[in-house]
Amino acid sequence: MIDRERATRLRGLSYRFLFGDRVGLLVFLGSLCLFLALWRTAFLINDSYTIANGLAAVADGNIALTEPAYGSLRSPGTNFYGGSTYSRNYGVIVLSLPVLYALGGIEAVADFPVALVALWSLLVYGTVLLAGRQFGRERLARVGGGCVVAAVFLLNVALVEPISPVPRHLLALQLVHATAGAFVGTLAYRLVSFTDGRRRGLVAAIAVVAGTPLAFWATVPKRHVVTAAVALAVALGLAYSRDADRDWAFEARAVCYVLLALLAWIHAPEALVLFVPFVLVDVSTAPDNGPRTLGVLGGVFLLALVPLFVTNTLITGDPLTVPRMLRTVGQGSDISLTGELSSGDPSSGGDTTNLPRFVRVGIVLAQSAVEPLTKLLGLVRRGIHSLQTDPTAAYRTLVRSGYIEHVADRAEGTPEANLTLLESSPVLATIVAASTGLVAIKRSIERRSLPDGVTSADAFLALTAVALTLVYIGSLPLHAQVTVRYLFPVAPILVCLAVRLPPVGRALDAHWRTVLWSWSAGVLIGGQLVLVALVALDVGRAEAFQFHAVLGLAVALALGSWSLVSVATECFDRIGAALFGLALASSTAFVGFAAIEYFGLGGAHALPMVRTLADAIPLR
Amino acid sequence: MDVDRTVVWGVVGLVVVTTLVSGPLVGAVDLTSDAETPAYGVGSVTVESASLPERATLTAGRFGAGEYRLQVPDAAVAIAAVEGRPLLVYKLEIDERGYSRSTTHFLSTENVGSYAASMSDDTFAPDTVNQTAYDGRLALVVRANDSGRVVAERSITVEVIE
Repeated sequence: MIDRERATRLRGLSYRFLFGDRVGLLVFLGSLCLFLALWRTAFLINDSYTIANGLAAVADGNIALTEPAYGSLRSPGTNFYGGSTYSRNYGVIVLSLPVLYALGGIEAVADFPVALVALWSLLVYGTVLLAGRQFGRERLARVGGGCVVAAVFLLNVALVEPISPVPRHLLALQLVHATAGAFVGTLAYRLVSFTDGRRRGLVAAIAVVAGTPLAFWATVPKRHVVTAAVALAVALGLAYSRDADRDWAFEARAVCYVLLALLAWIHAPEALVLFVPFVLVDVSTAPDNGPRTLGVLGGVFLLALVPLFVTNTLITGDPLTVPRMLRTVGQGSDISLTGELSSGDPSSGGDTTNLPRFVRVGIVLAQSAVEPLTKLLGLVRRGIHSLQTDPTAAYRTLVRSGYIEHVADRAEGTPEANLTLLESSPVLATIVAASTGLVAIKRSIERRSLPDGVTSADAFLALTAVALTLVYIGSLPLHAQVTVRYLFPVAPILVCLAVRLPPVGRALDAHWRTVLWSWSAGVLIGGQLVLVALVALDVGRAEAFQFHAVLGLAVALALGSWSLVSVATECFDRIGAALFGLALASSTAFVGFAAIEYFGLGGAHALPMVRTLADAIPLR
Repeated sequence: MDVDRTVVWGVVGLVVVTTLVSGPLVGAVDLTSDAETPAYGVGSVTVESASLPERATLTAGRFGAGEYRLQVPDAAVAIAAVEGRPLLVYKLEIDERGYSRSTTHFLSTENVGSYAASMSDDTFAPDTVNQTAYDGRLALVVRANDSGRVVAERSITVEVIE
């Protein structure tokens, strides 16, 4: 009996740990339904070959790549060390193993394309049932939802076509990334509702899921959505842990360290970009920084780094050749925090060999900690330098894209396809409402404390957004990035900050219904108008991209103007809310078109009905 | 209440049972019957007539897009009979650019009658487009049983539209 009680308590606790409450779970499931509806079971970027090959190798019990299961072993991001070839992002590879086995199990009893349809249908039904319970419409959800789901399921089954061969490793990776992506919405909801109430939290979650290219990148096995999820999770942990009287306050703080350590296992440089702002904010605002507390946190952090250590040890073969990040070959504009990895010879540290072993471990550990830090500083400095010397490049990355000849030349004939941060997420224009707060920030720097109403989580998110931007801005813009994916995590972070700004928040709280209406109308009606316009104008893909870009910028301009005005008066709040909804709709429509039509990847849609829709749309 | 419950389990049951029944374990129905791959490029086709367009366009990108887009109108082909799965290749060559492009169509008996053979679009970098027009050559080729036969051929003007 006691066991059952404990199990129930444990289940309740892990449910609260992961989703917070029922709305959090609802956001999670809803996002997942959307991501899987836009899912294409094919490779979008050839970087993904590297990770899929890595998963195939690890599933066979090897860490090194021997033969390519997909593509070639020369795909971008492949690492060479000591004569062998290695994959990257080993963290997600290991996380994908259970999913891979589950997919194998499903394949044994079901026809794969049918199983995907069944999985999605059950997910949608579950979401509908949960929504029905949350909003007191249980009967409608059960009967009405049931009929619709059954009809949609049968429609899909009627249209189903074989997938052969099934890229099982890719699918496992995609499902893991989609899950991480679904947490981005949930975490935005929890983070914002923590300080500003659940209603604002829900608007934030919708803004993150529908107003940024999250749904596009969720099923692409790249680190970007994972980084975004970890950044928001760490912000939530920070917010939670600042109140020492709360249950689990200290544990929440420790979880932040664990998450960042685990992110290092997936992508060490980005983990460091998050870690530095986090430590700065955490240590300076924590209720307790006693040696015992810091010792425990450090220990937890090191413990969570063990998987990274183990991976590195397995690859470099020597426990002393430590946490250095792998040298990446052919990485394009990806960041790397190490220079040359001196030909894989661990004894190159020469004169330290006479020292006792534990001292050597200490030296190497310290070296490997300092080296990336100086590199990171160098990258940030390069970013600032590039902002000063070449502001046009930053403008072309963040505001208006268009065709840039020297960037196109570098891409060697790849068709152009790139939207800036603002073009792909016009909702970010609301952040200009913060400009009036600059005075307050200046004053608070003089006082050496956070301005009124700014939490430590806000400070962490703002610093992280700046750090991420500075690290990458020097190597951007690029020619065919769909949306500036390196800066993707900045979008959800800024959304969470923007909706917390008092003038914006005031409008969203009062007119959240307007936001929902204008978003729905924008997607359902506006989306069709965009389709008609694109067909009538007979556009190519590059033109279609720029059409979305101009549309997004127009909405961003209007929304930004309102945001500035909103600081002074609340007369136009309803208009602002409507524009906010339209900005979300602009992103949603772009992501929909991109996933369904522009990057259909040869009709690889997981849902047969989406594939049929894509075939029916007369766009080239 | 009971009706509700029946509906919920009915829907879940429908989804699960359909999936299992069509799976390899039960295998009662095969929903993804992969019609055996036909031998492409084998067979024959009788073409009554074919008309090729006289003008294609190379259009500058709008809305800030830089690339020029090459668009070739469809070729109208009157097909009298098809046997097997012969290939129909619609081809454009622009000698002065050293450029060639083709789109292959897999014919079947369904295509008997009037058939519009399309050529997929291509894009050119703007700094490579420096004339107002290019001379090209269009060809429609039937490929079957390891041999090719030119069905129609004509010269074409590729107009640059700014």
